[in-house]
Amino acid sequence: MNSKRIRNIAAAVIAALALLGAMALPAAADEQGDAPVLSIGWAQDPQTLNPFIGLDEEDYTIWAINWDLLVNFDPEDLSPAPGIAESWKVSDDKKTVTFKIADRKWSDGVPVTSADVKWSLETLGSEGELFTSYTNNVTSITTPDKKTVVIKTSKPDARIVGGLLIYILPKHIWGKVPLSELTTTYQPSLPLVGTGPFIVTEFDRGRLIKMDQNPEFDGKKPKFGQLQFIKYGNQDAVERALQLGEIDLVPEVQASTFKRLGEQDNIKTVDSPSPAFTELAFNLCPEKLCPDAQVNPAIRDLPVRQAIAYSIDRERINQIAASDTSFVANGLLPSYYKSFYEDPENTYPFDPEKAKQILDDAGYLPGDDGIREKDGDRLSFNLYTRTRSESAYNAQAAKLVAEMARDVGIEFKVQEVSVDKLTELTVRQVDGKPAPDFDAFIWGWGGDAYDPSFLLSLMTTGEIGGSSDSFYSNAEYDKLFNEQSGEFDVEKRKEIIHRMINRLQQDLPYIVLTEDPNLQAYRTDRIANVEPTCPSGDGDIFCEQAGYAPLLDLAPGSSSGDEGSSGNGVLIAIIAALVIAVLAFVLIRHRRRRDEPLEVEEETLEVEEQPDGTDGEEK
Amino acid sequence: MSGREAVRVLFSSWRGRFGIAVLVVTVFVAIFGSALAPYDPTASSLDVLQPPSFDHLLGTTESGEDVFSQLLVGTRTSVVVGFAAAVISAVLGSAVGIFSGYFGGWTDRILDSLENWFLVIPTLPLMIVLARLLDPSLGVLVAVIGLTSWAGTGRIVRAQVMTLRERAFVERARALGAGDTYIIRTHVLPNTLPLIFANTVLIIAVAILSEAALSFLGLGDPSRISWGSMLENAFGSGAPSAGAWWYVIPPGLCITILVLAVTLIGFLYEEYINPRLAMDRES
Repeated sequence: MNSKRIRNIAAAVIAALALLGAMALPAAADEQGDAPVLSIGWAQDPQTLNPFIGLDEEDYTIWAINWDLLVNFDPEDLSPAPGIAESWKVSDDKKTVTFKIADRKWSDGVPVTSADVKWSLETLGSEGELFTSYTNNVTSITTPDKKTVVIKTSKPDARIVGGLLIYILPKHIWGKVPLSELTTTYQPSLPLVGTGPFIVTEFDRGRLIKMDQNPEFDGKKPKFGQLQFIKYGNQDAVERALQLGEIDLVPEVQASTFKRLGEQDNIKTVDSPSPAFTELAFNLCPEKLCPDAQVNPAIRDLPVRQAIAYSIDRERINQIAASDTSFVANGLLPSYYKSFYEDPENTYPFDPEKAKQILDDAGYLPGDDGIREKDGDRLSFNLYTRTRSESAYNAQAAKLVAEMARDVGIEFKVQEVSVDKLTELTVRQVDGKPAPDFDAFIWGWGGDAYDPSFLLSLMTTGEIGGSSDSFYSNAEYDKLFNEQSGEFDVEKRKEIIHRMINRLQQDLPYIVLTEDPNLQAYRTDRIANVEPTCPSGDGDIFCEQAGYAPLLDLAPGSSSGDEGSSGNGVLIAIIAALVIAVLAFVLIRHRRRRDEPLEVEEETLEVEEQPDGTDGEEK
Repeated sequence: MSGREAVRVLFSSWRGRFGIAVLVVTVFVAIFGSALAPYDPTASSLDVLQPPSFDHLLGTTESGEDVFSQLLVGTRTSVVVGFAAAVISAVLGSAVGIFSGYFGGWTDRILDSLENWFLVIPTLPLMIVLARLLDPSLGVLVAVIGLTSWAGTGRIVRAQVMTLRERAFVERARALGAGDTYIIRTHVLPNTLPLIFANTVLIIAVAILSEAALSFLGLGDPSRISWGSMLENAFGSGAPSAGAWWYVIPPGLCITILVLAVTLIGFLYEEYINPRLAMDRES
């Protein structure tokens, strides 16, 4: 299963919330009478509201508003805060946690009980595409009474409090649906019963999602009456809609337009730190694990990967492909995790001469076409990336990597493929064994906001066949990984993680290119009084994973309905004129080809063009 | 229509002279474009989306590549696809048209249905589906466009051949014992050639537009620059919103002018073959 998509998504999804929270968001007080509406635009919308099968980051945006977690996050510092559970107690051996369930009601009036929690953690935690990794240390979940849940784990696991990202669903609705249906076709009926401040009341896939206030929500009352998530055809259209004032907020802005958007009147852009990065990954699956892998074995040769690392100018990639919105990454652990981050021993600064030297020393010498080879092994690799419409940054970064590696005699053949296709290539199996079909790819990961374990787990042997997409396997790394996950002392854990990252920088399953902040934008005339709430103080943690709490502080802005100006009008007109000119030609030509019927047809046309009185009707 | 006649027709009006001038320049650039280009068209630089300057005559792309160089190098793709696809289309169309019109009967019925089928199928969606199914490359592009645009030629040729078949000189040849191959080769083909020629010129225009459309949709040969793929890159990178007109207008204008030139030449020959068209225009 590909949690990459999911993860990235999770980070991004949550980004929407962050924005919401980060600025006291008001809404445009139009259309809906006295209830102000907050309009949010995006180019990708959820495929489904069912968390068992949802895979996209956009899904999380909706889920996180509609439902609570057992333990929510405090928007101030992302520490554990009451959610479905109002309090909890951790036993002395840290292997048993007892939760007390708060007195809350589902939006349909039914009380929330421990049975809902048990059902959700067990069922969603074992069957939901994106939720299976959180409960792997859980040995039992028991419910002594309606208001108490006891979770036991095989070893101390800090995630049980403050990291159990599994939504609590109403068992009295979801529990009645057969599991086989839940994990395939089930679409919940609306309104989507939940405990959050807003619940989905309208889901028109590909167009619009409306969320209205939850009548049973007993927390702070939201200051606007409705959320609208509006789907546009592409990212450009979303950003144009923001400029035109059709929407108030864009949760995910393209790197290439981020700076320009911030220069517009009434628009403010926000880039918030995020544990997300873009990496160049290699297929290192060992022969015995992946006998049927389709790969140029030269990529498994360490000097080749080292040479590639030295040949890549990561700052140039940031400058050109990410329009200087990202920054150079050094190793798998994003500097976002301040309490654990330390520069690794080897950061592979851009040094093409050194790259050539390494290849010369390893016996790879340039052939007639400049591509190096040794004993007939050509350093020519395929390099997959998402399509431009899915990630303009990745597609462009791939092009740049190929260009730079070419200079030291390594060929990358860039192939843009859809996310689905890329997933297929990485999770491919033959006879039940992994058989990845790629040499290298460029993609990204987003980590959990509070803990680096997820990102570190990507390189463990245990994740081969799971989340691992480099198929890296190293006994020492695995040992260190287990050590750090049970280590509660931050300084000691940091030391262990540092050794893990050094190991990875030595072996280079990934060359992590850049760390990528969340890029968002909102209208200042619709959303006043903006004050980032999550990073109070240091601001070392972004607030996206904070759930809906920041949303409750948002208030409608001062002005609404102010039509922004469009500077593109002229350009669009010119392009339209060109298109029309070409079309006209084709049409004229068609006409010419007809002989006699020309006049007759024109007469008919005139008749058809008579106004029939329907044009004036309002749609 | 002899070769000399064809040239005379071409230079007899401003349309022909304009058309041929554009064609000559385009073909020259298509052949020598790579040598003329001041920069490597795919070399990135830190000058991202810069407006035209003396360094970059037509500005730069989102990766800092030189738009003018891309325009020069991209010419070849448009020209090659345009001409090659038109040739495929002409060969297919005239073969089907001649067989269908000449032999009649079941041959005609089958070929004619096929032709009708291709005529009514919306071409662009069909091209998109085909291009999507096959791996994008220049050859695939040529084949896809050629295979979807022959039906019009086929229909026109068939009609012409049907009248030719009944003409006295064909009957006479047959009476003298000439075989079908001989008649097709010496009588039918030469008499339909002008028609095929005029039609093919027009199909070049369609093929160039189709290539641009497919490339714009990301279905072109990814390893080659073409005017269509330049437009795709421009739109994909949000150049229109950024006001980067130098990235959008040049390829668009080139496509328009080349198509215009080819279409004008096509009209000219069509009118020569069928003077009534010219009269329509003048009246």
